[in-house]
Amino acid sequence: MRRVALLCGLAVAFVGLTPALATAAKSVEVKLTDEGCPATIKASAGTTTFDVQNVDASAVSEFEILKNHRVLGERENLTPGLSASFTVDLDPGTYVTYCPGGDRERGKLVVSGRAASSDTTAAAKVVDVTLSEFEVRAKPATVTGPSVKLAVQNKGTLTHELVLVRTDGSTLPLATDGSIDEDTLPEGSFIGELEDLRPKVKATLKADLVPGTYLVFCNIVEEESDGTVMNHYASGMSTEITVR
Amino acid sequence: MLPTFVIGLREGLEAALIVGIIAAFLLQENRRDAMRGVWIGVGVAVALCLAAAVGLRLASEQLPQREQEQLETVIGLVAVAMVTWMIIWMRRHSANMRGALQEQAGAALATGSTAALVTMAFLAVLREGLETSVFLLAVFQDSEDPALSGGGAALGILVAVGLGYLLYRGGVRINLTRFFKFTGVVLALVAAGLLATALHTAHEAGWWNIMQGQAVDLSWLVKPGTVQFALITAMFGIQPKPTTGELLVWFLYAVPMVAYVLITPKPRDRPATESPGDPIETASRSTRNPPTLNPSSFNPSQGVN
Repeated sequence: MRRVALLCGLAVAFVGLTPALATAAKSVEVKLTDEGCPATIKASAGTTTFDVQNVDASAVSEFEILKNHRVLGERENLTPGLSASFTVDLDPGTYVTYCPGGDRERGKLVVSGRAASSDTTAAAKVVDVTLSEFEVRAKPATVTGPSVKLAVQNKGTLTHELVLVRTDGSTLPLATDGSIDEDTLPEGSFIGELEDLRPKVKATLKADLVPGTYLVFCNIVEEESDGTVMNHYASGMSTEITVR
Repeated sequence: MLPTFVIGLREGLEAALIVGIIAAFLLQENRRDAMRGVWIGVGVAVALCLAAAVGLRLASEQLPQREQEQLETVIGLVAVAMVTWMIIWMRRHSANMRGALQEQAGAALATGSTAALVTMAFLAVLREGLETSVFLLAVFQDSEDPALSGGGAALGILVAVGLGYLLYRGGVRINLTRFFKFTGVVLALVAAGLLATALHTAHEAGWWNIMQGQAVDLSWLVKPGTVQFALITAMFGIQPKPTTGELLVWFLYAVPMVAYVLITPKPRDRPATESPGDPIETASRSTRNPPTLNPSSFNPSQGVN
């Protein structure tokens, strides 16, 4: 029985990877030597395939890309002469590359490109967003794009966050705990977020938005000490914004 | 040749070690009948992994690294639970019996537990086998010198299997009490290593992202790319530059567990003077309750001085 379950698990793992082939991604070549990671790798934002080749590194057989200690993609067991690839969705910013065993174990990956919050000279349209338990209010609910600024304030007594996602009327995928599953959102629908907004905190989120419907919500799920689970989104913390 | 040998050795040893321990343990418990299951499980796992690797290659697919790390993490944690249970079981028995009673010990090992051990051997090979098969195919097909690189990798795996076999033979030869005395500490360290490795793979699987700072630099001891590195990393889960989290779980497991193994339990209802090797006296009070696979049913204070 156990074996069958495990085999099914493996099968799912393999099926799960097929959609990754979808579009032709930009590719970046990485060569591993005993010196370790390249000091700086440059790439542009978007879906990027890393073709990693071990030239002659006897002590290095692994290449990882990390952001905030999170492994975004990696390849292991690359002995001299072998090459392999993996694909990562890159946002503009600086990432860490990791080549354990090399002289230079960590390098930089600098991703350039147009950020979601670009510095447009045109005055951004402001939407006032207030967060409270358990409600999100947006005024006005309809704005003219493309440049939009969400002026967010937490008027509640709990810490909240604010996530902006383009929906165009579709229902967003839910995780098992009832929150919105941010990992399986349709590609390109995630616009930006402001995390860890404590009570009374104000923050702004600038974005260039194409016309359409957007959802702003707080996706925090927290477990109280008595075991009750507080799901902010499911409790009503979401509202729609329309961009014209 | 050395780099491929090192990786073959490391990946192979992680699996061979667990299978060797399980095989020795089963034979110590006189469950020779279960050995067939172990070999079948290992064979099926190897076949599955090779088939999956060939399938991936034919489809020109890369190994799904994240899913593979997740698989390693889950099976690694199951292995930790299993080895922990084995240590507890053996310590209880070494306290209450002499070598002459091994046959009854075999009878006491429940069929369910035996099946679990057989499954574990299968899982242990599956855990490392997939990655190793993909690696083997790659070195044989893509290396500049396939014979040398592939030969190195294959030799590494063979040496790993040989070491697992030696462990099994060594474990079988000595009697249960001494088997426990000598290997209990090693088993505790292996399990601590499995736990640290599970945390390492959990990080690569995207499940664990805190305490990732480098705790100490052990690269002088665990020099990357050397045979020494393969042996130490595979057997005791020690990375060249362990993170705070890895070091923490290693010590949190290893310290109490080694202490538990080393503190000799006092035989219950028994006069202070012992006559080792006297089967009749020992046989007269052979009440043993085999622990179940549920670790919570274990009471550490029981039988300790």
